[in-house]
Order: sequence, then C-alpha cells, then structure tokens
Amino acid sequence: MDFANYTHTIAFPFDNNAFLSSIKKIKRYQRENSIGCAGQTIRIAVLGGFTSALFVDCLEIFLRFGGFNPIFFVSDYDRFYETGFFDNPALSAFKPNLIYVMTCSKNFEHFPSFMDDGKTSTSKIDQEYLRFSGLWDALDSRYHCLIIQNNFEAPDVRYLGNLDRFYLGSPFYFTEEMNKKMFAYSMHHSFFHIFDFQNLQTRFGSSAFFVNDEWCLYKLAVSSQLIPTFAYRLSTQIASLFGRRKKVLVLDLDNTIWGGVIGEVGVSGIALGPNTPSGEAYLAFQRYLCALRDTGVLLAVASKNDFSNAISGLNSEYSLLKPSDFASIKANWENKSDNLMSISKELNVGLDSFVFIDDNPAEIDLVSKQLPMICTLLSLGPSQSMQLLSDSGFFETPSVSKDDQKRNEMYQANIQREQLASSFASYRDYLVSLSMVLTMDSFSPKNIERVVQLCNKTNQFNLTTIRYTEPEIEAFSKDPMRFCFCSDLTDKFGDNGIISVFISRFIKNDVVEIETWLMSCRVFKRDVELAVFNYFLSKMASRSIKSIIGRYSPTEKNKPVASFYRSLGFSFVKTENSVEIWSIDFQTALQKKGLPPIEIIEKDSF
Amino acid sequence: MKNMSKDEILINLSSIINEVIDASFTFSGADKIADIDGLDSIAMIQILSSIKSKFGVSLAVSEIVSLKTLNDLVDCIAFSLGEK
Repeated sequence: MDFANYTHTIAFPFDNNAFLSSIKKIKRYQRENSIGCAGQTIRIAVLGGFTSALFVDCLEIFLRFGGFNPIFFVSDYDRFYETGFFDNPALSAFKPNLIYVMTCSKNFEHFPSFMDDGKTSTSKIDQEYLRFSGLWDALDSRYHCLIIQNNFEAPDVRYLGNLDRFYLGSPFYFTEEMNKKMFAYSMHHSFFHIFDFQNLQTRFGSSAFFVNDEWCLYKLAVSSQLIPTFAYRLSTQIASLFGRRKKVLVLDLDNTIWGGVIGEVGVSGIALGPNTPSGEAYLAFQRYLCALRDTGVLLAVASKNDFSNAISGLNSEYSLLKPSDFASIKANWENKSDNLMSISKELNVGLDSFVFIDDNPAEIDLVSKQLPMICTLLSLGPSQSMQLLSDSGFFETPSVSKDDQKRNEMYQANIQREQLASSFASYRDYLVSLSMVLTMDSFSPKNIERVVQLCNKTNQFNLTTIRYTEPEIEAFSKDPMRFCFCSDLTDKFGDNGIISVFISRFIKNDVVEIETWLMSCRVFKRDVELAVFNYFLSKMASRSIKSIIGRYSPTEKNKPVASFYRSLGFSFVKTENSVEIWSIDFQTALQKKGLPPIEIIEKDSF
Repeated sequence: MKNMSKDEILINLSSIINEVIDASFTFSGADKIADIDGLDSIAMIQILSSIKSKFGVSLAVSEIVSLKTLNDLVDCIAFSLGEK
C-alpha cells in the first residue's frame, strides 16, 4: 500500500467495502510509517456489550489518520457492566482519558413484556436507567475522565405496528424512554457525552444498521458493513472532544453555492432562490452553511471569478450568504492553493483546520496534492454537498459556546483593526487607540466549555500544548495547589471573548510553575500576553513567591513562542525530556515587566 | 461476471483473502477455510464484504457457516452468480 492508496482508502468519503477488506494493510502501513505516534496520546477504554474487535481496529485507524496516538483497553465480550461498575485493577492501571460504553438494546436486563401493566413497565424503565446511570456514576468517581455512551437503537421489528411507539410495554417505548433519561443525564454531567446510534440507524436504514444473522453468529449489534462508518463517526466525536474540530470551510462559488457561472450568465441567470427546483436546492445548501456559520465555523471563498462578479452574486436577492458572512473572500484568477494559503495567513488558522469544497474535480485534485493537510470535498450538487458535509463530521462539536456564535463577527472586527493599524505611524499609538480591557476570571461552569475548547485547539501560542478534558479543568479549578484563570478581551470594536488560559502550580511554598499558558491567535501582537503576565505577578506577590518556572515543549506549530520566555526575562535552565525549562527570579520579573496599554479588571467571582 | 469459471472465481477469491489477511499465499480449492492462517471470524466478515464488491453477490452468514473448503465457497459464489 502506498501513500495515495492509503489516503484514498481512509479519507472521507471512504468506501466501507474497500476499507473493510484493507484493514490489515492499512494497519501495517500506519505501523511502518509511525502514523499518529507523534500525536496526542488518548487512552481509550472500550467497555463493550457486543463484539468490539473489528470496531476497535477501525477506530484506531481513523484516530491515527486524524493525528492521534490511541491506546486501547478493551473489556471482555459483554462484560461492560462488571468491568466498569466494580473495581478493576487492570482498568485502573490503564488510566483512561476516555471510556466508551458500547452497548445496545440487547444489553437491557429489564426489558418489558406486553403482559406488563403501566406501573410494571415504568418500574422496569426506572430499574434499567438506574443500572446504567449507576455505571456512569461509578466510572466517573473512579476514573474522572470523559465518558461516551451511545444511545439505544430503535427495535428493528415492530410488534403492534403504529401503536409500538406509544404502548407502555413495547420495546420501542422502553428504548425511547431510556434515551430520554440518558439525554437528561448528559445535561447535568459535563463529562458525559452521547454517541448518536439512532442517527446512524436512521441515516442508513434499519436493515443496513442491523443484520440479525450477524448478531447470531458474531454478536455484532451494528452490521459489519456499517462498522467503518460507525467507527469514523465516533472518531470525529472524539476529535471534537479533544479540540480537533475543523475551523474553516472554504467554498467555491459557481456551481457550488449557486448554479451556473456568474461571469457568463450574470446575476439574474444564476440558479438560486425558490423559483426553480435547482435554485431551491442551492438555497437549502446556503441555509445549511448559515447554520454552520452560527455554530462557529468560519466561512471563506476561493473562487476563480472577477471579484465584482463574486460580490454581486453574494449580494443577489436570494443569496442567504452575504459578503459579511465570510471571514475572507478570494475571488480572482490565482491558483486556488495559493488562495487557500493566503486565507490561512489572513485568518491565522492552520491549513489542517480547513475544509475545501469545489465542483471542479481538477481543482480538488490540485489542492489535495499541493495541500494534503486540507480536507477536500468534491461537490456533486447542492443536495449532495449538504449530505457530504453532514456525514463528514468535520464540524462536529461537543457544545456551542457564545464565542462560537460570534466568531465570524470577531474575525470581521479583526479586519477593521488591521485597517485602523495602517493609519497609525506608531504601533503603540494604535494599541492605545483600541481601548483594550482584559477581564480576568477563575474557571467556572459558565466559562469551562470555552476554556477546554481553547486548551484543546490552540497550537501556536501554546507553550506546553498539554490537552485537557473538562473533568481535569474542573479539578484544577478546585485545587488549592493551582492558580488558574482565563481572560476575556474587549476593545472598541467589540468583545473578543475568552482568549487566554493560564494554569500554574505551586511546586514549593515559594516556587510556582506555569503549567499551561495559551492565547488565541486572534489577539496576537496586541501585548495581551504582557498584561496576562503582569496580572499573574500581581497575584503571586501576596504569596511570597521567589521564583517562577516556565516550560516550553516545542512542536511543529508553537515555534512563534520559542523565544517567549526569553523575551520576558527568563533564563534557560535545561532541557528535560524534550521540554525546555526556564526560570526567573520573582523580583527580576517585576523589574522587567512590560507596560501594555491594557486595562485589567478582575471578575467578582475571583 | 456471470460466466466466470470456477478457476477464475478461485483466483479472485485468493486475491481477496490475501488482501484481507495481508499475505501472499497460494491457495488451492481443497484448502480448508479453518486452516488458513489469519482467517478468523472478523476476517471472514471482511471477506464477505469484499465478495460483495468484487462479484456483486451477497452471501448470507447462514450460507457460509457450514462451508469447509475454498472449493465450497467457490461453489457458493458460482451458484449465486448463476442465479443473478
């Protein structure tokens, strides 16, 4: 297997059959080429209520392809409950970051009977729910890690016909009630996430989802044909939980977000709007793109067009997407790869966070070859594009924060800031003119989602690139041996949201170590890091701190901060396991501190 | 595909098995399925999937559990091809 074959077999949209028949070859290729070995290690425990071997193979392949280094603990067949509920030395020693409870309705112990009266039926639902919620509680108290549990599939056969859905003793009713309770549990437990088994079932159909013969022979609750898709979907959920959601969707225009070539047919000739079936389909696709934008996906354009034609199309009567919805518009006759690189530079977002969609196979081929880190999708029409994006899981997200919802707005404000900067002779005058206010806050339920998100997706200004889960951040917030805070930046153009996370640890009474310090790329070159450090120093002053230790773990992406500690006056001490250790005497730090033109406010919650 | 001889089916089947178990064995029709190194139940699922892609026939799990040799599997595929 060569690289082209390898990528073709795994990259979305992959062919389940081709994937299934090549699993061993793919695994060998990944092993021989150390794929994923340098990536983030995730220790995943799979507690299975049905056969998991094939699924785990597929999941490992997709996670490695996505840049992770997964290590697995797999429970014995159908021992999910015993392994998770009771003390298990092997699982404790494994120290999972994530536990996937892989069960199906065949694992229910209190399944209803049509002979049950309403009270008995309700009682069975309660008992079954207590059994499962008891398992999740036990896992949380023992392992303090993320838990994913799939919801339960709808029964593959009907008993009463249409009455199944409402009859208290029916398996359908039972399953629905269990799923409702599971959802309610997830709303109150931030470590708990649901994998949507039912969507897999409805998207591909019950008969494709479950094959009774395969259950009888292999104890597969998801048909072998769908296992790669099942594993792929879980891999995108895991990637999103660990902050690897794609950030930017770059769109071609002609025959991608409207029908026809605008340069030839003019604005009035493009297919977009409710008056034709084709126009309606493009409208639906644009509506889908608007929804993605509202969840924090940055939209951009890379189109071979005259700029004026592109803008007139976006400003046309029926276009739901207006020029202001895009963080960047490149409509010109340049090579698309060059335009994509230019968008990446403009937004300060790495190309591996990009998805590019175009109807021209030659453009897709070119971008795939020149910029293989970009996920490319060939548009075969608006309806297909919508389904492809939906199935891809590229923009899967565990939550939608307020910052996500206003992300496009924030990038638009950045463009205004850049325009303002060019009107000042002195950069400091420009910074003063921004009237920046930095608000410091402790980690709390209202900001923890964003803190975890930043920890997991910030690569450039991230001195240690340590990734954290929500339970870990929660634990830090209560740890008296740590001082942690996040910072929200506003200026005259608006609120940038939470843009910095700082986690420090007292390693001695008078020595503090900076464990994690990161900052969003949106606020680079604004002296925010100096204001954050000054605030940290002010808080340490009352604790009789004598020295501060800084750590820098070099990665491919955090080179911009390679000399950061030196710039603050720290001295290099040594390199330990590839991590640079820096230190500074507290008094020296106070003397060398900068004076950024930023007002600092502390939230009352501190 | 419908007119494929049993020898041709065996050649294609051998290539599928080698692909799945990541090997380059030479098989004969008399080879016992249970004796093929690396051909566990999971690999068998993968082989059924490949048979579907390559020959366009869906063999039910219940059809293949009683098969002993590769010739039996070839016969099974040939029969399904004939029925198409």
